[in-house]
Amino acid sequence: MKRVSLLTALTVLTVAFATAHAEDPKPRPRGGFDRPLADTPRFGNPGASPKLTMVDFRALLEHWVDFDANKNQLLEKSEVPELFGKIFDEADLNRDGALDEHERTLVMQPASTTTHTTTATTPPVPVSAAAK
Amino acid sequence: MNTISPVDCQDCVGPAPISTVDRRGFFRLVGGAAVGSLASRLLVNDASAAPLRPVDHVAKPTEELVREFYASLNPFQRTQLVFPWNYTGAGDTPARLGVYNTAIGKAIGETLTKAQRELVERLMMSMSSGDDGWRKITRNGGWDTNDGILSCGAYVFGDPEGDRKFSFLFTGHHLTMRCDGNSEPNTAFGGPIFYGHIVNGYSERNVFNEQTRKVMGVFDALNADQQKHAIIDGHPANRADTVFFPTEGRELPGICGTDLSADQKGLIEGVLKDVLAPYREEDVAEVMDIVRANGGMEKIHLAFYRDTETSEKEPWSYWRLEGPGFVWNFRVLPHVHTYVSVAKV
Repeated sequence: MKRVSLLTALTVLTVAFATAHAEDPKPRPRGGFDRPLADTPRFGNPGASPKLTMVDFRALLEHWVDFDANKNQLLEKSEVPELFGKIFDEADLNRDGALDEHERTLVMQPASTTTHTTTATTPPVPVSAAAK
Repeated sequence: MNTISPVDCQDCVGPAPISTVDRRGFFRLVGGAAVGSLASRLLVNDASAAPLRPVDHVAKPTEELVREFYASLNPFQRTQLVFPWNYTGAGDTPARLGVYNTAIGKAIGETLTKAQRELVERLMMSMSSGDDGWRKITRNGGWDTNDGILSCGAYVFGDPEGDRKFSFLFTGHHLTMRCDGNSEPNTAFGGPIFYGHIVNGYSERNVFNEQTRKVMGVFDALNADQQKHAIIDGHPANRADTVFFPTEGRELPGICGTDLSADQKGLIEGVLKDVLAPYREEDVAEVMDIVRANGGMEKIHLAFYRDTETSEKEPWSYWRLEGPGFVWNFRVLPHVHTYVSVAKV
């Protein structure tokens, strides 16, 4: 009798576990700092800045129209979040303080070989290299 | 002297989340009147409009700045920084009510323009009281981070425009603060808050050092028998657990307000005034109203904790004020972490 009860309990647990996972096909990783508004927890120092990459900048430029506050079809540095400043400078090939359509297109071309990482403290990889 | 850099916070770098609030704990975080109305909506996570705020709500400067901030966000920024009132994220309780030690989503520096960041600074300044409050909240302007306020996060829950409930939540290293236009009734600061500074709490370089010095003055004013009652060996639960209100019938640690003379009570009131000093008038007034409604200073206990880290020069690792609906849990060593929760019970 006890064995039957144990088997029943195990079956119920297994079904419950499977159901829970079926509802959440992409369970979030646990650990690190609690960041309920982010896809993943943050590990390391809680006061560190996010490590922004060219991938992040491309994601931002996909919505450049939203950031073009004065609607002049140019994305000025003041219209971009501040931690993207260094990547912005690299993308601003003619150094006029704004990204025109040509410069934005170069950034949006997929990177060929390397992952480009930059932070506020490390020098960025030139966009021109990323665009090759 | 503590010389570690603002982000080299080994004590804060742990494998475990700092503020997982379980559902049972959640019910002990917010005011009694709020719980009933929230209970039925705990798991509602859709983008439907937030519930209405109390009708006696009066617009205040900080709330107006929240509206201005919300209005300044472009559609892409809203997808990153604005969440439904009861949004839970990965947890099972509303994310707006957590206490956090880092940016909990996108950071200000990766989402906001310079003009918007300056607006958030103005907003935070209006949640502080004058220059000294601002100095404390920003930890001498450095925010205990690599890139100052850029490494922190600013988020909006609900809808600050119109009459819907909302909460502006600011989180960063050693900081959780809120402005919610009293959307969370009977709850001070819109929910539990957290502050700290990466400097030994006994060092004069710690911006909250004055709070500890003041409370040590209270200890010195106690007689031997009172001191014996006030000292606890060990330490209170750290992190999120400390913001849960005592369950009914549990004996509170430390010496009770009823066992103090009028002069000594006055000193504790001085401590309360001091710990509230960095915050805006409305928040201070709400805390004092709630303390009175919960039974007054008489019901508040004061405890000093000593453990293996303490010494003659640095006698307490923690001190804690606790009463009905009131927790002010101040960790002094190795650096300041303070959890605060005040609500009508």
